[in-house]
Amino acid sequence: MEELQEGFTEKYPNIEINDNPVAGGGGTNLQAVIRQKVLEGDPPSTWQDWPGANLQDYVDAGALKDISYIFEGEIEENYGDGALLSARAGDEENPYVAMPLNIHRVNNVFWDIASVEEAGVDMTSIGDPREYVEVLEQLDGELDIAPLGLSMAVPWTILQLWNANLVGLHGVEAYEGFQNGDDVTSEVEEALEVTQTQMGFATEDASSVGSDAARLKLPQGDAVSLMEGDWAAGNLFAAENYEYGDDWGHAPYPGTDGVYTINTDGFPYPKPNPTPDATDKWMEWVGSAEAQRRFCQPKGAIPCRTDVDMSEFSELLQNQADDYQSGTGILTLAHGDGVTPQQGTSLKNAMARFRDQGNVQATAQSLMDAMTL
Amino acid sequence: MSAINKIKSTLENGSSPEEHSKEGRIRSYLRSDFIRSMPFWLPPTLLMGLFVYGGIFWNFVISLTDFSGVVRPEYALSNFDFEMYTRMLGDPSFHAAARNTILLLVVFTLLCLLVGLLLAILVDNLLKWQSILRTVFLLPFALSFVVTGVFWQWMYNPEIGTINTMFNLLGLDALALNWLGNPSLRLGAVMFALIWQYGGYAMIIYLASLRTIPQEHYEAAKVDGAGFFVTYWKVIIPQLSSASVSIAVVIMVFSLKAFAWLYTVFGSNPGPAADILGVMMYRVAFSANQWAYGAAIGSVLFVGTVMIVTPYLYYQYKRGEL
Repeated sequence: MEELQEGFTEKYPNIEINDNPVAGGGGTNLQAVIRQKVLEGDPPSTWQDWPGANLQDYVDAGALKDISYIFEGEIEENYGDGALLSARAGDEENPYVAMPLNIHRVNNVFWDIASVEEAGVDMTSIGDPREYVEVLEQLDGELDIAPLGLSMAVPWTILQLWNANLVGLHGVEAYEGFQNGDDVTSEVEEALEVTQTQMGFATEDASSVGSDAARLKLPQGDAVSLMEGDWAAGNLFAAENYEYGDDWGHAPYPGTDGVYTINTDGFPYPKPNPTPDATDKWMEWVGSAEAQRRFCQPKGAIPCRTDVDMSEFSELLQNQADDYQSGTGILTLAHGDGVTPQQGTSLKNAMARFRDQGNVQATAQSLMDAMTL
Repeated sequence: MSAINKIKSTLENGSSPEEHSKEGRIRSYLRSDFIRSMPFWLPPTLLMGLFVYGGIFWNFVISLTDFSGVVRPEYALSNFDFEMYTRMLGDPSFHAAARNTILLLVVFTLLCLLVGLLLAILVDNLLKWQSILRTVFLLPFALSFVVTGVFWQWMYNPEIGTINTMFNLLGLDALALNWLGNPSLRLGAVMFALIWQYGGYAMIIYLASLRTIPQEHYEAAKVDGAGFFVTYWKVIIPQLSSASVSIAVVIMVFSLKAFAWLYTVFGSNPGPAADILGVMMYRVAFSANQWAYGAAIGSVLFVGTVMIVTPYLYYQYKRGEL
């Protein structure tokens, strides 16, 4: 964030950034403060948030400005389709209302190379989630450690896994059908069944650990593979004596090759805006190749633009950027891009219930009901 | 005629035959305790009224609207209805959260009283180490829920947690369970952690109460041939009833606030097995932006709290302590 602000101040030395961090709650407190300020008609110039459908409540309230004039031209040409959809708050019908900055890919599988070699498994050739389950069975039989690192103390990790299974088994069409509220019961149920089987392969303490601890199961030698967003790579890169390519590997989640499940971070443009000129310039800066290069590289995410110089990025992110450019971008259901806050909360509710009760039919119905909210 | 009207009429009437006596009455009225104590009780009353009772009232008003997202609701009588309350009745999440909240209230409170009483009797009968043990048992009460939440999350970890490691060492492998993972054990595990934290509080109040019982009662019981258990059961414990009531009220109110513990361990969604109304209210309001529904859950929680506290206040009132 400092990098982003520094670059802006270098470019526009006469605009002063008044950064107001809101402490606590991992962003939840910030959300509460912003909503209050928007309700009072006194929003800040901008704030950091998940773009996509996460902003739908603001769009409904008419609290975000149409910033097509900023997007038209070179930003629109250089942004990937998924990022542009996020900029429209997840709906083609909406105008552009936010500037996405970076993208995390959600559909990934990571693994510990020594362990899979010991078990004689090739993680890069797994065709779909069902084959992945067979691999997990094989790993379980061959090795003493758990085949899957997964946090089940929180429901979003399970939702994320199910989202990947749905796309891995039935492709982007099933995902789109689900998102549009169509009846895709059998597809949703099948993905749930696979998810349920996979949960059985998780580490014994899956329900007592958070997502950070679950990611660290790989370098600690307590789990073989991990289905997570590529922010998990940050934890793996940070682990001592644990190198990408030598000690751990990465691939798109089985069956989702060619699909890029997008989770963006960015800046909404509220109206009435206290500093329209400066905010315009900030949005243009955030949408520029230079800003995205400076911000994304240390954050460990790829830029929304496809023309950013990737030479300083890690090999992993370079591969991800290639996949982003050649693949189909869809917006994640487990975070903010693909679902409204109400839908997201209901999906997580359904998953928490699924974790505890394991009822596939009831969960499929609750998940589909959530999308009609 | 009320006092204010009397003043008014006095001022309006100006001079009258009764002027002098009225002036005298005003003067004595101004000198009364009611007026003279006003600077002390009026500001806090107004502040409390506005920020506490006003807040509660406003919360109720919001629960009658359909406030969601970031669009202000219209506060008009024609828009008010009980839709959010009827929605609750058909919401399985609410049923689970309400059930768990009641279970927590009843079971946790009773167990806490029992543990506190046993600890108090134990400490009271010790000849040595009394003050050290008192501190040891009370210490968890001083910790915040966030600290104890993380602490117990580690304790309950089925792979590396202290509890299962201990069971395994003792050869009791069958008892080394997945405490937080298994939905049928989860609420029990939460209660156990909370009892660990609040048992010490119950102990200290009981201990203070035990100290007020004259030594003669023990001696008289002994002379009458009562043993240790009979002495406590028939003579001492019945004298602790007022302590039990006040501990129970405090513990019950704390159990409604178990939110922080659950939020630390499970985030805003502990699942139907351990969800409570406080967590659900937060989730509905702050994650889903369903303000009116969240406010309705808050109102239900408030009514629940009043139902707990009212009998206590009445009890105190009857005893002349209020």
